Amino acid sequence: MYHFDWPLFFQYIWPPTAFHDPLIRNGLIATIIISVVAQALGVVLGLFVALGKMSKFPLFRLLAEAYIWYFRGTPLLVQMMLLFFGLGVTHIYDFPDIKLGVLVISGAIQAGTLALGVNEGAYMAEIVRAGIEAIDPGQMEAAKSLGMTYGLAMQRIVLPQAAKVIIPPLGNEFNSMMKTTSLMEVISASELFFGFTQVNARLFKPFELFIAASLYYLALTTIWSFVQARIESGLGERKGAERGPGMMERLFSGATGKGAR
Amino acid sequence: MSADTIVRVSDLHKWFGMLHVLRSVSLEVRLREVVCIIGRSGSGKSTLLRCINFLEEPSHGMIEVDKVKVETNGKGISTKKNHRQLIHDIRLQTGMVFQEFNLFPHRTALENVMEGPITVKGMNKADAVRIAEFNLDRVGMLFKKDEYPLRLSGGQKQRVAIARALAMEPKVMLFDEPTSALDPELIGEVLNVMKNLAKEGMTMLVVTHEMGFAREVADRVVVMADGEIIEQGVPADVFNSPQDARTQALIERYHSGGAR
Repeated sequence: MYHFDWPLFFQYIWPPTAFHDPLIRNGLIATIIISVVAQALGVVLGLFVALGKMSKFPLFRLLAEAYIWYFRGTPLLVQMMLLFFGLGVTHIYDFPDIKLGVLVISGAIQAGTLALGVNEGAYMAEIVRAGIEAIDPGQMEAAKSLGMTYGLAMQRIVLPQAAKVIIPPLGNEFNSMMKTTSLMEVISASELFFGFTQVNARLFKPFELFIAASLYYLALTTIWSFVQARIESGLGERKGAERGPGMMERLFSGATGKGAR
Repeated sequence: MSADTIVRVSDLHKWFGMLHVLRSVSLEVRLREVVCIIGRSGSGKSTLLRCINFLEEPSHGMIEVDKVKVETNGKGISTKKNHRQLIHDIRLQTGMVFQEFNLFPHRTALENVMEGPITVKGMNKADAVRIAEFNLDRVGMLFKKDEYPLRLSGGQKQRVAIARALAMEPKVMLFDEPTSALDPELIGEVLNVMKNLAKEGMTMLVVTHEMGFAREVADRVVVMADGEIIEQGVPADVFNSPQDARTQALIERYHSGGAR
């Protein structure tokens, strides 16, 4: 009969005590920042790849197709290890620490965030493309007939409308992203899960500690789903359109999240 | 070509793949002239209009609007960069009104009309508001200036769309079946706005199924069939003594109430 270490468990799920351990506190902060940065990178890359895929120039289309093909067709974990260890060993880029004042961004965090963002770009490209294609081509024609260039029409007319289509799946992507950051544990990037594995290496209480770790991710994704519901209902109200799925539906439907890739 | 010609189309061809939709179309429109293009669906009349402002790239031929001349031989005669600049210049001289209105749904009526002057002409906001309000008033839509398109009727949307095109102060207005998507009871308000524009002396090229409008307002009626202009003349001649058998059939259908 396994003896569950309740005091340890409570110590590590209760933030005021858990945060005494800098591995957990800094790990949590790192996970949030990494998620936001990687998602932002993914959105920007996704936008350009989507525009590339819809370009009238065959070369751009080919590059975009190849990007999506590779990054969706290979495991993120492999991409991350390839980027960090592969580039390191060739000395193409060694991922040296970056010092920003008191903050030091380790090479592993840089590589992991970059891998997450680049991988996410491939998924975001398809989401952005679907969003743009959902907009009536007449909108682009009307903009052009006023003398707008393609870029201006995209920026002023098409993308603001496409955003309404893009934001709900983008929210789901971010939910997924927060969980997927845990893969960075394998390259020893000091995010939340790495923190828990380090504590476990010291105390060897994997059952208690990994349940605690899972609850932190659950808290992050739950808070996010509240935020997401607010954002989406705001979108709906302003545009006078239907509301998105409600809070409870979003939490328990099971159809939205994708889990780590 | 007379001195006051503002639009000139010469030997225009358009293929969609294997489909030859425009077969050597030539047309001239004089300043202040109202030309209605009629014809059955698929006759190429909308494509002709869309080629004039390059929403469709012509396969072959010449388009000239207000002395801006673009020749195409299928590959584009002018250098690519210049070609784009010329198309831009032509679009600045032409306003277009679409069958499906194509108002920007995320902008209010006023913002729809301000969009072109601000983003394309770089006008400041105060001037753009002034121009937008003037043009909304011109189409009788000033009272709905802060509404989003979603809350406007079809006829109201089309009037805002006309104001949006007018706000760019084009030399020529192109209307692509402006009333075809409207409920019958809403057609009148749009046609009235167009009649007033014609009276103000706007040069207008109108693709329409509204035979009554063509007959009453047009200076000239152009009849298209199978990608060609088969007949043209003053409305009285075209409507009372059509020469081509296809025109006769079209007019016949109108007189028997088959088309409005």
